[in-house]
Amino acid sequence: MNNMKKDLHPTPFNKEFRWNAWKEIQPLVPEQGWVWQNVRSGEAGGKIWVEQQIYYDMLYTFRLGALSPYSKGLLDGKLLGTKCPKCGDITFPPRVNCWNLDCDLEITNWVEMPKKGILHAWTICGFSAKSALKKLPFVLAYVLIGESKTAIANILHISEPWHTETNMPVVVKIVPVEDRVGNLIDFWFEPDPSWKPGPMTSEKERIKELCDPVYKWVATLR
Amino acid sequence: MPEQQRVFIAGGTTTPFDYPLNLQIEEMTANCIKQLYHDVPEFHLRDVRDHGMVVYSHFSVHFSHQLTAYWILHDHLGLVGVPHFRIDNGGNTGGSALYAAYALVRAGLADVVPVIGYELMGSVSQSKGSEFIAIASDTRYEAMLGANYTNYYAGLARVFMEKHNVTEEEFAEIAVKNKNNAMATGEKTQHFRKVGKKLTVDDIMNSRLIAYPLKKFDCCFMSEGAAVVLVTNEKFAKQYSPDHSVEIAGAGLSSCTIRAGDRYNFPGWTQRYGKGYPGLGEFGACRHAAEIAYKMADIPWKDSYKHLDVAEVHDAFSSSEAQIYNALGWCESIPVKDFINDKLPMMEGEIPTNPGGGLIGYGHPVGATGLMSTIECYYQLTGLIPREHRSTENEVKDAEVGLINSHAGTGTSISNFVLRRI
Ligand SMILES: [Zn+2]
Repeated sequence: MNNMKKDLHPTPFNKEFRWNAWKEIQPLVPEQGWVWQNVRSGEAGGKIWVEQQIYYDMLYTFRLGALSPYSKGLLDGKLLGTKCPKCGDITFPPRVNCWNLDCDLEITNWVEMPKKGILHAWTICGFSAKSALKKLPFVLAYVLIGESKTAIANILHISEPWHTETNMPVVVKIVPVEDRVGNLIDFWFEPDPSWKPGPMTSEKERIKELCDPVYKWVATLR
Repeated sequence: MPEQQRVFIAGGTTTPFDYPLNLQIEEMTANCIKQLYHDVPEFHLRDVRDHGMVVYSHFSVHFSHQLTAYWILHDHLGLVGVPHFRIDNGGNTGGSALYAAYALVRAGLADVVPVIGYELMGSVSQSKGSEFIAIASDTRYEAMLGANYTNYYAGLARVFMEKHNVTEEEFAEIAVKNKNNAMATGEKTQHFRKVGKKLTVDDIMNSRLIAYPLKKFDCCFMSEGAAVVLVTNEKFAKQYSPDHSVEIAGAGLSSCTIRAGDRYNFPGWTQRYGKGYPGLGEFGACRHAAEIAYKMADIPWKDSYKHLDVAEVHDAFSSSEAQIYNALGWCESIPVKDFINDKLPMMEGEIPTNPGGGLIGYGHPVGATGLMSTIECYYQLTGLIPREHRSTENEVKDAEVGLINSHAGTGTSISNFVLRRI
């Protein structure tokens, strides 16, 4: 039993934490809880209907625990994946225990990943979550980094998105140190400088045509 | 010890699906139960009190501005003292709740189990709603990108296109089929209520880009609604609906990775299906769940459509319906491209798929969706389409065997059921 216990991820005591690396990035949005906004009533089908609007917010703290080295790696400008000491499987995004049932949830080791990979899957987004609307149209790409057995999703920066091609080589770019937050949004993909797009195809023409109104719409956004 | 029982569906109904629906969950659910009282006069909630349990099917507490919203419903329906629990399994919530009810009756732990599904989605803005759905992706890695579920699905669809040489127009054919089938189903469907006319492939192709290859009309829309499926043992099925019951002849549930990027080399899949499967383009959980359900119902996986008369599947996107054809074993002898172009899934084809309209036509209030698919399939198998639909244009005459499919995440949880007319 004692031998088994050594294989567990450690659980720290709160009193042992020294958050000297904590970085107050910006003042936090104050939490307000349930905040009354509006009430209105109206008629339809001969009946009265009422709607109320109530604002509700929350501040999440993502405690990264055993995944912390991944996040710290990004803060330091590195991509850290994991490697299983038993079967050798490398994954990025990391897995802090091996995914192979035969490895008995072996705790994996951190390995630095190269900042390049192969684009395996992609789409050109013409609509997105609110936070990303002004970046449209953008390319969402799944990239196999180095020897990873998993692909990671992120944004591909490419001036003409319709030229995105399956299996194109890409490089990873990381934001300047002062802007890093230790999250996926610290990096993005770009075509490898040695890569040249192939000729226009009917699919590329079609995507270009679909993107045109998106560019126009985004130009109208404030 | 309770004994194993055969499991039946003896009735089912939905509210209209719309966005917003302007109703609270109590009256949505009460309307469904009262409609059941009308459609299945022998059924009463007293039987649930004395011989049953209730399984609630509800995806998101974020949308319901309420934890354990089903607690409100349960005592509203007068069911205090009756066991209840809620299933959440993403888009496969309905299918998983049906699976839970199936398991309860099968195990002999309950004889009458209404599965009650609902979702409020108009409680927040559309963009907030998309964000809520996107937090079913891995928020540590994916949600921060600003992509929504459609964006992820589109990436998978593009892989599928490349692998199987499928075109945007072929996906659009599926969207048109489902939108137009919904017109025959009538005023319960969101497409009938919102658009109210038949569409063409051009309408789909000309709608705005959401994420290539998907345009607006390739996608289901956010919706609200409720549905109830009445799951029973044989005794109650005979008592309630001697002429309108179907047996759940096969039930399969399976799972895949939360992040689609983790599907090239997952040891579990490699051991089961060989290296590289399912990748991003295929739905491994759908295949696996289908194999399980078919085996129980004595149907071969390969070309299984030849053994089915009708199917209601989870077409959150036109492309995913095509991917589902493949994952159900329908395209082993005929490429998926030809499967569509030869009109096999159309009303006139060999395996009419989503005659009720599917998610694209009927709507997708998540907790109610898989139940809606179940109910539409049940109506087809019990000859109730003339009673339930606005027109019989989308009736599959003399259907004996049906398939229902419910699907979550980017294929992360999938259930398949085979229903058989008795
Ligand atoms: Zn291992």
